[in-house]
Amino acid sequence: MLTKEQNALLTQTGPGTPMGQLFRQYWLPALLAEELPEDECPPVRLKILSERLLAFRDSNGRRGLIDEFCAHRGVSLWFGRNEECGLRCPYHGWKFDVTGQCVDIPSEPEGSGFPKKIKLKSYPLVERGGILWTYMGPLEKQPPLPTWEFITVPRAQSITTKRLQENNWLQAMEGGIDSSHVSFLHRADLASDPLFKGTKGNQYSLNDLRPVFEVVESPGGLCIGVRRNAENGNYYWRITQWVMPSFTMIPPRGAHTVHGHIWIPIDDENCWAWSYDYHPTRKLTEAEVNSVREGKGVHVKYIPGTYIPAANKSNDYLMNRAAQKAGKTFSGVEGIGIQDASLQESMGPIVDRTKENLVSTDNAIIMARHRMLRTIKAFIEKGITPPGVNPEHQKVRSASIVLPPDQAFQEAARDALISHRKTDPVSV
Amino acid sequence: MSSQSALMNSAKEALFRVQESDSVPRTIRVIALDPPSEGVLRKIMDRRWNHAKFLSAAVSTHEQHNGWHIRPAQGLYDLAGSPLNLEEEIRNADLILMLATRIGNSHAAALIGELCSTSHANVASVVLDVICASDDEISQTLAQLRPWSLMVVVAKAEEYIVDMLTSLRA
Repeated sequence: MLTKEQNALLTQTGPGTPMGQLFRQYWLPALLAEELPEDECPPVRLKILSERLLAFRDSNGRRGLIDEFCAHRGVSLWFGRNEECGLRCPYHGWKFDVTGQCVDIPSEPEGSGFPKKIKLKSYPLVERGGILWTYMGPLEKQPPLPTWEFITVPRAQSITTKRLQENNWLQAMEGGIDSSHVSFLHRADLASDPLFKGTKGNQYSLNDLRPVFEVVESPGGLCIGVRRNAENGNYYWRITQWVMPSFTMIPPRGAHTVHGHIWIPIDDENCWAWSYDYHPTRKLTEAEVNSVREGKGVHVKYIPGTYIPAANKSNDYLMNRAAQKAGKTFSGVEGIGIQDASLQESMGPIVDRTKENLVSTDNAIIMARHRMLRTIKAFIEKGITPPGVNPEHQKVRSASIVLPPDQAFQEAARDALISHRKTDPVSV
Repeated sequence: MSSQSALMNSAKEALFRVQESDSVPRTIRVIALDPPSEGVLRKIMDRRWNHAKFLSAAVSTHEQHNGWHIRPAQGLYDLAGSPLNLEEEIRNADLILMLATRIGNSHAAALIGELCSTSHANVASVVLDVICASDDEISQTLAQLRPWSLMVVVAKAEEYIVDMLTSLRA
């Protein structure tokens, strides 16, 4: 459990809040590159960390993320005309470039210089790995661009999707490091999902329903090891990575792709669940790409033309009690991503952590909260750069590995937990 | 018409969640296995806890004037130095939490672990890496605890014990 104050501290990410300031120290995924597909394409409204913003790509291909509303009378610039290196408000013609600088006010005398005195808040928007990343913190603290392996491999080796999740970012992220739910909620999918099925590791997972957990602090966050029995007295370890504040990488299965998430607050009651699948050494197969597009693995099917899951709270997540009864799904909801989202949304927009009853196997969650609370204190009081900002902290991999019983995973799998260019993931 | 989920997942509906307490405090025995971890427990024992009891199986050689007690033999003690019956303490606990540093205590870990195993008691362990231990040293302590623990955590800050126990409503 957390106190009411601690819960508020970790879940509120708007401007000026401690956790909001912490999030603003990182490069964050803002949009998929496909959302701004060409020069002078329509602008895109987005809210991130409780700030209403507008992304656009000008006639020279420059991308920008600016305050959504015109500095003149507060009109949404989403209605603006994207023309000649700027976005022009349709109300009175004020024009802004990708840095938010006002470059034209038609009603002012030519050469008045007044436009130079108007500038909307803006943030950089940089494409990396098919994602447009933004940094919303102070310029003097802007870190190097992100180096996650899934965005640095050739594009044909990686695919990323995003989906709207209608609850606070923290309860979604905590689901990502809660390894003990997989054997229940997702158990049917281990055998049927094309991005998961057919591995030796799945057999270990399904044969041993009493896993043992080991949580170790890493430079950027946590390594969460889950141990199950394998043959000959050996252990099957699945090692998840969590890097602050909200990056997770799920242990791989056999020769399948590696996947994970980043959870980004939209506001305090909604977040984007970013989901990636990649392989460090090979192109994704057509079948894998199709599976992702069909909402398999950690991805979802969409309402066409949106990033809203087709199964969502407005249709009770397409609950299928017959499938639940027949054991085709454990919860009655189809698809790993929506199985998670449906339960996390059912907790309410911001779960009341003063009421929860954690058990010792929830220690990854307890440790993640502990590290975040400690980090916020060090950052706010002493200005210490938080874990995960350093690009070296981002060069991580998850792993699944069989080890003799006397070997600690953090030693035996040390090399497997670091991303090395052009090496295969360690996976069973 | 909105679905039930759309209605029920709202912040407005969250206000109607039953506010009655749905649990009673768990009885947790926190057992320090070595002197440094006993020192950590001494720092936190006077906080307000529900049903946490702080014990030590450390063989201490520290001076009496430091508030520590010289113990002639392996055994379980409360932090005032009075001997306790290990079996009874385990029998009365919902969770046994073993706490160690790089020093560890293989004899005590095995003794406690075996008794817990026989009694089907739930065991978690925390290794505090607060005294600049090497990987090898941490690994050795982990090896003492791993066979008996459902959950093992390696933590760098001793405040973690407070956060963990608070999270467990200890």
